Parts: sequence; C-alpha cells; structure tokens
Amino acid sequence: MTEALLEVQDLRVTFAGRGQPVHAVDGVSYRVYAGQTLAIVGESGSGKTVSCRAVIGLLPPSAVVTGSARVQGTELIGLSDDRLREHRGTDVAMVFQDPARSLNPTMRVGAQIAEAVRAHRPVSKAQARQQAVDLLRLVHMPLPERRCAEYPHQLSGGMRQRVMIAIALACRPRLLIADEATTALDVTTQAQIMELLLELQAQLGMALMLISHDLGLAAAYADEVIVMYAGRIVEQAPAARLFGHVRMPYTQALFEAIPRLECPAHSPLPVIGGRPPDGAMAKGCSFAPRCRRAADDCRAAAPPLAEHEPGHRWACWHPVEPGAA
Amino acid sequence: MTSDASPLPQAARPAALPEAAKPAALPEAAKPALLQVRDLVHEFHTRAGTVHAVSGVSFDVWPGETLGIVGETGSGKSTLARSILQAPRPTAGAVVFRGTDLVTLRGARLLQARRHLQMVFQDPFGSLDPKWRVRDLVAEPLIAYKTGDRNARRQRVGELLEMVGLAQHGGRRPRELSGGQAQRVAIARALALSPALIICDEAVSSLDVLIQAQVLNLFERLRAELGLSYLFIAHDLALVKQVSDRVAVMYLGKLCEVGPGEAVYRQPLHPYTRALLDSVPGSAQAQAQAQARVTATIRGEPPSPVHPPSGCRFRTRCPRAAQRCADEEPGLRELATGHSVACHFPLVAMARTPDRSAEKIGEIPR
Repeated sequence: MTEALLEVQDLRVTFAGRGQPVHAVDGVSYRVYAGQTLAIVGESGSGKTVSCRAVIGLLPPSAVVTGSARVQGTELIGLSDDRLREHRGTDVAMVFQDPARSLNPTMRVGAQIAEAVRAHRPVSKAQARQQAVDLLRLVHMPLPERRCAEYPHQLSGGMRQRVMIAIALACRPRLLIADEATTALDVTTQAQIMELLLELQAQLGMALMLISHDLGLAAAYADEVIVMYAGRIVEQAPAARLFGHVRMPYTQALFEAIPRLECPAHSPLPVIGGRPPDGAMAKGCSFAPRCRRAADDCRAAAPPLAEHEPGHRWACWHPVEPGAA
Repeated sequence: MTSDASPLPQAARPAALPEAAKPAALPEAAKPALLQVRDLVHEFHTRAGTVHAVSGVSFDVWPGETLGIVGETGSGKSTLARSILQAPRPTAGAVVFRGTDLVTLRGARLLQARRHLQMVFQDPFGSLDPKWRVRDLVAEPLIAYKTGDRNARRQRVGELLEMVGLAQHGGRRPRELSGGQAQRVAIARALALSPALIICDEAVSSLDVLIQAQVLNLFERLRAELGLSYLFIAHDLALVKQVSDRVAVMYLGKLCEVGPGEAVYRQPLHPYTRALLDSVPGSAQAQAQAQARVTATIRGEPPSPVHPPSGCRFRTRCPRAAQRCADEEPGLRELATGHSVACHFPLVAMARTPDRSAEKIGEIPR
C-alpha cells in the first residue's frame, strides 16, 4: 500500500476544566490516503470535530493534545504556531459549517481570496487578484470576475461555501477537511457542493475528510467511514461495506434513526434513549448505558477496536449479526 | 375532484374559487376541511423591490391529516406558515380555519379563533424565556387564555409534561435542558390549549439524528392519541414523507406538486421534485449517481423572489423547459387521483387524464 498522506496515531485531547478533566478524544488512530475520502461520523460531542482541529492546531490553549499526527512524515502535534502555519493551507486546509461566520462581512470576496493566496505565496497583488478569479472559476462560481467585487452578504449560502472552498484551495492543499461543510445548506445545494468537492479531489489529487453527523451523506460520498462515540472510534469500514454490514449497535442506531424515503409514512423510527456521556470516562464500553445488547461484560471492560474482518474494525463485545442493519 | 369537494363556508369567499386537491384515501374526506388556504399571497416591500414570498398558494388540511410542505431556503414556506397564523397578515387570499376566515378577523375574535391553531418553531431556545421554569413556560398559554383556576392549570401542566416525557423536569430552566428536551417543552406549550392543528416549521431540523427520531415519534404518538392534524414544514423530503399523509412541494412562492407522500416519492411529476429526490443522500438514485460520479443535481442558484421568472418559476433551472414555460404559467392540474402538478411537461404524461391546465389555482380573483 502507498504511504498515508495523514497518519494519526493514538490521538488524545483533554480539556482541563474546573471539575474533572474532559476526555474529548480518547485514543484515535486512522490514515488518510491521497485521492481518498474519509468520513468521520458522530453526534454532537462525539469528538469528531475536536480530533480534526487537534490535527491542524486549532484548539484553545486549555486543550492538552497528545499522540501523533504526521502529514507526509512531518509531525504536527507539538509544533509551534509559526511552524504549523507553514503546513496549514499548503498541506491541510479546512472548510467549516457556517460560511457566513468564516468570511469577513466588510471585505470584498475577491480581496479575501487574494489575501489567502498572498499569506502563503510571494505573489504581487495583481497576480493574487487574478488567482482569486481563477479559484472562483475552479469552484464553478458563475461570473467569477463580478463576484470578486461583491461582499459576502450579496451571495447565497451555497455561493459563500464555494468562496470558502476557493480560499481553502488557494495553496492547493494535499488534504482538505470539510467540517459539516454542507450541513447548513439546502439538499440540492448540498449535492452541488459535494459534487464539487469530489470533482476537485479527482482533479487535484487531494485527500478529503468529511466530518458529519449525517451517516447517509458519509455512506453516499466517502470511500471509508469512521464512526465516533464519546471520543473513541467504535466502527470503521469501507463505505460500500458499511451499508448492510453494520456491526456496532451504535452505528446501527444511527442508521435506523434516519427517516427513509422507502419506508411507508407514519412507521415508527427505532430509537435509543439516553444521551452520550459528557466526558467523564466510566469503566467499560461508553455506549453500554444506551445499548440494547449490553451485558455485564460490556460494563466491566471496554471492548478494543480490532479488525475483525478485512478492512472492517469495530469495538463491541456483542456485535450485531451481519445483514441485520 | 371538484364535484364532491366540500364548499367553502359562505363567510369566507365566493364559491367560485377552485378547490385544492383532496386526499383520496382518507375516510375523513367527507367531513369539512380543517384548514382551507386559498390563493394566499404574501409580499414584502423592500428598497430592492417587492419580494414575492408567497404567490397564490391553495391547499386543504383535513381533520387527522398531516400535510407536509417541502421547500428549500427562499421557497416561502416559513412565510406561508406565518401568514396562516396572521402574523403578519397575508397580502391577499383566504385562510379558513374551522369554517372561519382568519383574514377577516380582528383583535379578540382572532385570538379566540387562533387558540386551536398552534406552532412549533425550529429553535426551541429562541422561543423559551431563559429565566422561566419549565412548568411556568407550559402554564403560560393557559394563563394567557384564562383557562381554569390555579389548581386546574397545575394539573393540566402535569398532564402535558407527562405527555411529552418531561414529568421530572418541571422545575428546570431552559439552559438546563438539551435541545431535544427544550423542543419537548415547546411542544407541550403548543398542546396546552388542545389545538386541532399544529404547524411545525423545521421543528426537528436542528436536532441530532437520534434525538430527531425521538421527537418525530412523539409527534406521531400525539397525533394518534389526540387526533391532531399537522402542517409539517421542512426542507428534508425524507423527513416530511415520514410523517405526512400528503406532501406538497414548494418552489419560489408556489406549489409545484401536491399528492399522497408515497405517490410523490414513487412517481414524481414535477422536475423539481425529481431533483429533490435525487439530492437526498443515501437514496437509491443519489447512491448510484454519487458512485458513478455523475451529475445528480439541478444547476445554478434559485432566482430572486424580487424578480421571479415569467411563466413557470422553475423554468430557469429546469432541464425540460421550453418556450411555453416562459410564456404561460402552468396551473396545478390533477394527473392521478389526488396527485396534482403545475408543469407543462410533467415527468409522467397520462393519456387518460383530461388536460385541466386552464384551471389556474394560482391566480387571485380580483
């Protein structure tokens, strides 16, 4: 197998609060390869966003990050801000959920993209402006020259997200992380943006990481899917395999809770009670309190994440029968 | 469809108004409709020009029925919900709720008519005063409508909290609740005055998928237990279809398709409905198209509601658009039982169906 573009090993993030320390990410390992799309899926508070922000050093100072995250052999964890900045943009770039909040409302769109270009490359202002137009063309913005002179409020949500992607692509990153990048968008716009991301990925040979709460989206667009719960990976499999072969009961619950077009109206959705644990690590499997299949051994010791079948890892003592979900 | 449709009450509007499509399968169809919306128009006047948010929408909601309305940002679906409640009042049209046209009512009479028409919004925290306790929040509508004495109200609040699964949380304040719990408080408030119809505007859209499923199940249970009707508005077609008997698809201020949920999904008639279905991730179509890496979506941006396109409003993004679509506005016509579409070139042409395109439900009588 080729060398991984990003290799994350035993990543841990702890927030030292006033009370007990909160383990937001608790020993996460994965690899991302060039040209591949990896999706990390989980509910609010599962640690999916924190684990990605830790990789590119975007966590507040109160976060204690240990473990390893190597981009093409370079260790990112523990790097100074100045050194990290060299990697951000060129090696790893990120697109966030809310483009309205990430853009400067008082600056023209073209100037914001040009600023991103000049932050990383020694080019003249005129060259940067030309590149801004080229980048907007790359993300299929209609009338790119005209849009450059507009302000964010003059654009629709989908167009703003295209601008954010253009900024993220300014330095041709090798890895693009899209953190809920389509969550706030309409479903047809979401499909347009996902299509754009996959097209750019193929065109530029990028690796793509999708952070999402939407298992349907992940299964539809990613090559590989990681499911996180309470700071840990609980299941990982190729997307094509995960459909129909879910083994971890939590993944099954996520799948079943999504309303499906094929189901007749008014059919009750299978639900699980309870809330995810709020950071304090208990003994045993963190999902056991909400799990239909939980037994005494689940509460005694946490199951390890192991590769039980080729390419398919799960952490469960009593996995769902294959084909049951 | 028009022959046996129940007439509008005389107080409302001239009897010549066209009737909206009626559900075929529901036995309640013999009863009068609970809510009749006719030619509803809502316009906002801004410096940029007149925003045509809702442009002639007609539909019925029958007792015990859930009508789903699917639309994307800017389709006018939220404006539609608010103009039904007369907050603010629509520019034109009729909103007949239980036989009374709300548009003609003022003051105390409007308040009384509206007590059986309640609404649940997207952001539960935005509609709950952060300083109040849950039990006081739920009692507020009872006090506002001077219902019962203190003891009766306390008992009713207990029942309501039990109903939404928050019996233990009466003493809490909104910030001590999760998003799902706060939405349950909003639902308890909506239920307090025993409404006949609840309008849900993206009521579960901000919740995590597991919590969303719990709240959807709660809506369904309440419908069965209390015989409620819902107008369920959301942008997610799969979600709307899950809870709805009939689904209406809205685009740029107009309905483009109305029909039984199953029919709209199995045999969409409008190209926009097709595009919405193809965009749902995980659906069979979207799945095949994503894997084949082919275009699954409609192109471009929705046009501005300040300058909507002539004729069919979807024509600027429609793969089937022709000259006729720019010249002539398509009216809603029924192509299968209870399944109507506003399109000159629907996806399924049924030879046995007479062309009723002359029947323009969208127009306002002057």
